[in-house]
Amino acid sequence: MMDEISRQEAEAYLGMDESALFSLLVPETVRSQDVFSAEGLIARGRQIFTSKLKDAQQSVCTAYLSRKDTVKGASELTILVAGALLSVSHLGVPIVPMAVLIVRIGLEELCRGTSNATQQ
Amino acid sequence: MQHSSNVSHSKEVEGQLSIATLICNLFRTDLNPVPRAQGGHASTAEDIFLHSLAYYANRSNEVYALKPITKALTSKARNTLFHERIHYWQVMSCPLQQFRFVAALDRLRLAISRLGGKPDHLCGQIVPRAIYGSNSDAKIKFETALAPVYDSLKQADALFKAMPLTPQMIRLPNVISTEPYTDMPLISIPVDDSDTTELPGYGAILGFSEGDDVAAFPFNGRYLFESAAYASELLFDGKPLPRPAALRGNDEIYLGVWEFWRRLHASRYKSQEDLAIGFLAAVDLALTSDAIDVNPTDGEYEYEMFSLPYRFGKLAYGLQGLPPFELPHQGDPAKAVNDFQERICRYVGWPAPTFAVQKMMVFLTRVIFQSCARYIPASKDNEERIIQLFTTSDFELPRNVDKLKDVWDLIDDARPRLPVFIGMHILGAMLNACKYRVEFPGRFALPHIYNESLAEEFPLPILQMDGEYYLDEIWGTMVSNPAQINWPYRIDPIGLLDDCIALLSIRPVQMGSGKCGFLEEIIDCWYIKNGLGCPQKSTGYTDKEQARRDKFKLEDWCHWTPRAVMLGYAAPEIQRRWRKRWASAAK
Repeated sequence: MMDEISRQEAEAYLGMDESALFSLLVPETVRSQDVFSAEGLIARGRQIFTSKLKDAQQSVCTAYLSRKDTVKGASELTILVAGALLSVSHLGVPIVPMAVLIVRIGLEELCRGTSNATQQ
Repeated sequence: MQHSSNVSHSKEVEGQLSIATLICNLFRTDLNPVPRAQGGHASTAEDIFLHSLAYYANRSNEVYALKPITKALTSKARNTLFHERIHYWQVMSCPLQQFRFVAALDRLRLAISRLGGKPDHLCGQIVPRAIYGSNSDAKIKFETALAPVYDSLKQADALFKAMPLTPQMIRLPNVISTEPYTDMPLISIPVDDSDTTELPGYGAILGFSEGDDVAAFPFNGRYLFESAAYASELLFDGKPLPRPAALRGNDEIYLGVWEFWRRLHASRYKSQEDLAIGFLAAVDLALTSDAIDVNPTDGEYEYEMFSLPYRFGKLAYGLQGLPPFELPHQGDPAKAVNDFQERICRYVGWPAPTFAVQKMMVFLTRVIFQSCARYIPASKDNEERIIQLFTTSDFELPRNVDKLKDVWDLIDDARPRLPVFIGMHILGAMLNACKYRVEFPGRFALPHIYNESLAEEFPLPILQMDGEYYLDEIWGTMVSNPAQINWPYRIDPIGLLDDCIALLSIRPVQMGSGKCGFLEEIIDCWYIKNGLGCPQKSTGYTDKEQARRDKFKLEDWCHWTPRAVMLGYAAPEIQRRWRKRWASAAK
């Protein structure tokens, strides 16, 4: 899984600001053909992120909690999260931008209260 | 030196208008991105609604839990609503957009036919297969007639969307000024990756005095729509239009065309207000072209009518040779705009906007009528009216649109007998928008001045926010026909809303998929937000969602179900089950 998403790809997206990352989550047909208020595209992307995060939270937190002591740095975290997102069926959004946004929120914050069977 | 974006934000709600479905989506900007468990207990009122939902589901009808938008938004959010209303008015009144909408309906119909479904419950300009019966030659004609429509639609789509202006697109530079750098190059716009067709247009390359930033964009429809809407929003707020020191991020889309216009014309205008209104008049004229009556052999005229970026570039540049727009001290601003637009058309040899719109009235009437044809009583008078509608020349009938009134009356008379025709209500609203343009020329160009009248006559058909559906303000008061116009098409608000929901739920068929468009566009619909889950989600229902559906006997009912069954592309088992339920309820 780690090989499928390269460090280079992760770093490219890590270099983008959040507005651009949220915009990338919006389906391309909608992005190119619809009209938005000034921050509408970003707001749409935020909504998609929130919706998809609900579906992905368990997988992401399970992966994070089992590896958090060994994974170092934003790039490795991004690759770890992206790998977990790949296992969520029919997520329907670009994986690496979604992973970067999750890393930016903070996995401790996201996974607070999530149990990890491997830690027991 | 860093410049922040010139486009103001910090609103509590942002918006999106879908050009294809006309649904206005609103998004709160204060969302916590980390999902928290939602509690919630079903209320008695919700249970009563779900009982009625199931009752009408048995009769193949959807009902909607609608709320007035006024209760959901504060006054701070009204600017976003105004911005989205402007887009709705642009789409409804722009001939090229109207054509795109009809052509997209035809594309949907062909896609449904290819999925093995029945396209007859969709409006379109190609006569439905069912009328031809089993005539195989007619079926071939149905499919081949769509090829030129498809090509035109692909081109219209390309001319609308936002895209970077790359050096490969430039065919001829046209440097207007070097301080600051202002170029209006002739460009070629690619249609799409699989098509080598390129369309001519113009764009702008703008340098700035400070720094090395350069903004480069084509005058595609998206840029024209957004610049006009943003300018109108500022004028509505009483704010001056900016003079940006750079264009960053979204600025190109919302301010690019305005900045280009300002550079070309500001020195010729006495007042900022006249400059701004001149800009809105020019954009409105660019959007009001005689788009449906062009031919590749027309040469440059074809580009002037069909290519928005070509038309606007020519207009903006050529207006340097005409006296600038002046708002009269007293008198009608809309009339002044219309007079300005007609003066421009005489100068460049284009059809006046009113003529282009009257032509669209004929076109839209024909499309709507085709769906009603089998439900019109057969009589000699009716036959003559129909013959006149379809055989009178496209030059003569637009000049006598009042002759269409008899056909509009026939359509209105037939409506109680009609089955569902997806898109008909939207086409009717577009027809009304054309009539409004003829009765009140110039008003659509000035939404900041005529906001009240436009909002009364053309409210947004449906707003969606957090999975709940809302009616625009005026529907809530149910005021009808305050402008006292003899509308060609009597508007049914729920019919209009139904059209929008239907178009979104069936939208993926154009990509050959039978899935629901809400799912594909990642919009949590009302059913998901209200604890009923999604029948198409790969993860299935949660136990709670299943229990709720079982309690109200909803099975797999949702926005998608009635449309996919009616159009015949739902799985056979789903079709069989629901048709049986509908037949039982009808007994």
